[in-house]
Amino acid sequence: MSNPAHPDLAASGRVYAGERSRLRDNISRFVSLASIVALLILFTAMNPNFLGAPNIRNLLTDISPILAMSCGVALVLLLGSIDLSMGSIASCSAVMLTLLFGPLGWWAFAAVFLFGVFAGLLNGVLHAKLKVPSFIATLSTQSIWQSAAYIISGGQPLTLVPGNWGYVNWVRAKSLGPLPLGPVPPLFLIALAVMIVYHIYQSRTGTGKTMMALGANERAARLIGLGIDQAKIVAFTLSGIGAAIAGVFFAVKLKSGIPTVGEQYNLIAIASAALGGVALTGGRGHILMVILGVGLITVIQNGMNVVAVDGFWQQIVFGLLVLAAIYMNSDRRRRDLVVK
Amino acid sequence: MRKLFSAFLLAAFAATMLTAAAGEKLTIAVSIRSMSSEYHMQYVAGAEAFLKTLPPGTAEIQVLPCESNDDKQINDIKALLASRGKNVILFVDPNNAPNVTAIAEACEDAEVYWVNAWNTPEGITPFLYEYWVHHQSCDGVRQGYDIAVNLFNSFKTPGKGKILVMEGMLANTANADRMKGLRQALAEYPGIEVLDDQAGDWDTKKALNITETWLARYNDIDGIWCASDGMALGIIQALKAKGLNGKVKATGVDGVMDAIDAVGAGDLVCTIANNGWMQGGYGVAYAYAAYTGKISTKTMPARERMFYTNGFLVNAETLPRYRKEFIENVPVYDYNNLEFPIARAMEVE
Repeated sequence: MSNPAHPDLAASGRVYAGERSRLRDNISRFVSLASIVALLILFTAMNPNFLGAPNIRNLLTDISPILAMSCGVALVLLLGSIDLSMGSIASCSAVMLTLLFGPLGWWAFAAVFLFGVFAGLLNGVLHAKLKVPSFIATLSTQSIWQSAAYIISGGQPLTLVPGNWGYVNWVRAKSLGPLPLGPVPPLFLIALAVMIVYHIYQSRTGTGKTMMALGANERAARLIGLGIDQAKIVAFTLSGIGAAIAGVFFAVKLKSGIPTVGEQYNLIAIASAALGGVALTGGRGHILMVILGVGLITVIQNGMNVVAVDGFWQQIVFGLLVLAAIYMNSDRRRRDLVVK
Repeated sequence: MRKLFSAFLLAAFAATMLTAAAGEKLTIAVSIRSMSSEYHMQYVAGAEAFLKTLPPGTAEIQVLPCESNDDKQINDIKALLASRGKNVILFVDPNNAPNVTAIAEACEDAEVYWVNAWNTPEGITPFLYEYWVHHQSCDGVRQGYDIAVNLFNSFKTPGKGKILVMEGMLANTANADRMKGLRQALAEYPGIEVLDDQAGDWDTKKALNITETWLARYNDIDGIWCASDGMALGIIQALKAKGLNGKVKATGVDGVMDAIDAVGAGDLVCTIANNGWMQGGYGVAYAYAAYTGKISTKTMPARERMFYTNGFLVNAETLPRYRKEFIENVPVYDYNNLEFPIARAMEVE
């Protein structure tokens, strides 16, 4: 609140609050990054091969589908909404891609991309135009796409026939034309491109900025005439595209279309976005930071196998590390903090 | 509070440190669907039994549960291969058949010997790879035949009676094999009449519903040939509701504990335990033999690279022996005799 009796003091107070907020964000980012660096050092100390080129390639490959999904869902989370259909869209995409290589060849990738656009658009329209809460809308479409994946695949995991391996062998490429990629897999480069495009869209366009505004206060955003429905539809569409890209990654990586392959990645993608600092309540977060959340989760999962944590203990250690990372990343000093 | 969480974090790291690999031991990895699966943990127990035959301190077991997540199974295996180099051998029960291709390529790149059980995609065989030592599976035809013969001989007039057939999933390989075994037995027992044949899709509840309908429709049933224990447990429930358990004979396959107990209670004529101890133990024994150079995938006979294993038929007669050998104790095998687990070679087209 401004203070008319002491305008300078009020102004300085606002500046101070802004600086404090920026400082808080920077600390949060630093802690996320520091958590990853600490884990990298620990796991490498325990097994020097952890940061060897083969495992770096593994880590970056593992990160790729989750990153594509997380960037999409991060936009939906910025709205204060949720997308539970990503895993099913990814499964359906993987199955479709495997089946479509035969009749469509390289165009199968485009067909799956269009499917992602359609699936995301459907979620967006259900939520924005038909006013169905995002939880219910995406829970319903989750069931629809999961069943579709089963029906299309005949309930069986589909193996990509060796005659079609030519369409997916680029996933193992070690160079981009004359440019050597080193330990960086092509999948990671695509996921990185998705993240950058989503970030630019969210931070530089009016619709992207509206996503953040309506997540912070939808009523206010509506009153000042922002394009609420458009922002919601675009966010869900981009989430659908991210999920379809993840499905493509699963299919080319496994050389198969497994109708349940994305099932378990819904919550991992949401948790990764949250770990990257995207508030589940909406209105706060940064797309580029999502990579830190995804990186943290992947490093923990990969590292536990590299240093041979007992299978019975893995889930406990994973849960504890994620809990500790979330706790250290989140800021609870705000007086108006409400935890639900 | 933050200090408390930091302490938790340190405790987690400490647990990690305590269980971490030390030195240059050989890692015997067992990649399974879930540690909550009784059958999959038999693989681990089998691998541990093999480990005990090696000089102490030279090798260790690492279990990689994928929790039914195909991508996790591949990621975990790749992480392991990256961290251990060639100092690892691997037994895998692929969560789904298509995983085999990715695992085979990863092991080929890492030059790591591995074996798998049950699943492999059509046309993808160990003969295409140097480091894929063998593919093994239970002999479904033999299982279908054995439970059928046991069922037919349990009738009041052995070899004469009316039966119902509960199949698994129609397109499933295991179901097709077990049905083939049933048809072989039916050809040998002309006194058996099949009243109906339904697909229970491996589902307990669906099997229960089908059986309830059968019991309303037929009143002269002698037995139900059933392709799995999961469905057999549904059948038993339906029979119990009508007071017909033990009177209408039933079978199963897989050897889950509830089915073993049902054999003991007289509700099930027989089941076949797939013997994960033997599959896991001999699986890693083969991979170890290739790792040490005792055998070579280039010169191994084809029957050792793709073969069926026998299960253990559990009926009222063999139950005490099964309990003693497999429940009260972990079975002991001679892992130098690599021929032992081979029931018959698989036909390769």
